[in-house]
Parts: sequence; C-alpha cells; structure tokens
Amino acid sequence: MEYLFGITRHLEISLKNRMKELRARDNITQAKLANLVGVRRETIVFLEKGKYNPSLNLAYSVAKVFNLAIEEVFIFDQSDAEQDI
Amino acid sequence: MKNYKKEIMVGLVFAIIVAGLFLWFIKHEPDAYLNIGIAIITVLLGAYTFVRQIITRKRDLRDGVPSEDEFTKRAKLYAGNRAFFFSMYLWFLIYLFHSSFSDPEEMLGIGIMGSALIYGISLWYYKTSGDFIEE
Repeated sequence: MEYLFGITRHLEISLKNRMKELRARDNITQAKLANLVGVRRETIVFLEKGKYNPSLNLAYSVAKVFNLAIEEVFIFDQSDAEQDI
Repeated sequence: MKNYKKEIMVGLVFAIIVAGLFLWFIKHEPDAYLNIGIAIITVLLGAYTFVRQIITRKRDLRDGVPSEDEFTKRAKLYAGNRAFFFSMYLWFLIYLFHSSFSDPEEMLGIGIMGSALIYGISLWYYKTSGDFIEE
C-alpha cells in the first residue's frame, strides 16, 4: 500500500561530529588538524559545520588524532522517517 | 617543477583562452578602444589568476598542505556533473537560436566558452558551499 502511494519508510541517518569541541579540548587549530590528517583547512571547516560527510579513511584519521573511536567523534543520528518517492 | 604540474597545466589552458579572447576582440573592430580595453583587462585578469595560483601553491607546499584532497575531488566531480547538465540546456538554446548567430564560429565559440563558464561557476559553488551531502 505504501508503495502505491509513493511513500517509503526508511532509516534516515544524519552525521554529527564533536570535532570543534575536541579541538578546543586538545588546543589544536583547524590548520594543524588539517595538516595532521592530510587535507586542506577548508575541508575541516566544512566537516565542523556538518556540510560535508568524510570518507571512512578521513573519519578514522580524525578520530586517531583525538585518540578516540570513530563513533565517539562522529555521531550517527538515526531516525525513522517517511519519504515521498 | 613536479609539484607545479597542475598549476602549469591550468596556466597553459588559461593562456590559450586569454590569447583566443584577445585575438577575437582585436579581430572584431580592431580600432575600437573598448574592445582593446576589454582584451587588456582579460589578459591582466588571466595573469593575475595564474600568479595568484602559483603563490598559493608555494605557500601550500611550505605548509605541507595538499593541493587536492577528497573534498576538492568530490567538488570537481559534482561540478562536472552539474556543468554537463546545464551545458545541455545551453547547447539546446544555441540550437534553437542558431539563426541569430552571424557565423558558425561565433556559435561554437559561445557554446564552448559558455560551457567552460558554467563549469567554473559550478566548481566555485561546490567549493564554497560544500553542498553535496548525500541523502
């Protein structure tokens, strides 16, 4: 029935992160963090704003800088949502 | 020299575009001061962009910043995709209004320059907005 009305239930996952908070804790600048993980500073800016989802490699590198697991830095916010198709 | 490969390539492409535009402006009404003025501004703009790019790259090399990372690569990919999509519309419009062009060279020139411009705007948009969060 849901299919007929063009509505599908799916798991919506949004990615949030604690990078800004962790940077402040460890007193690391955006430029320094970018240098440590091998990306440009703009990438860190967009990551912190939540405008860019990192690759698994980058997420792992960032988490490693803060000596934390990926899920402690990047929070997967799950919510059951309806979407029109 | 190896580190500046990309900059040199971009510079060469830019030089060709600038030289082409310069010749085009000179060819059409060579006596018109406005056209010569526009041509000089175009050359200066091209030179400024090239020099600025070299300076930025030099600073990046000094600071150990990569010229490209996954964000810029993704921006290029999305910009290419969007530019292709909009270029189709541009070429369709050129096809519809082909009779209003004086010669085929002008029509092709506008199409190619328009496509390049659309790609430039798309790249600028994605690099500054980062607007490609996948749902």
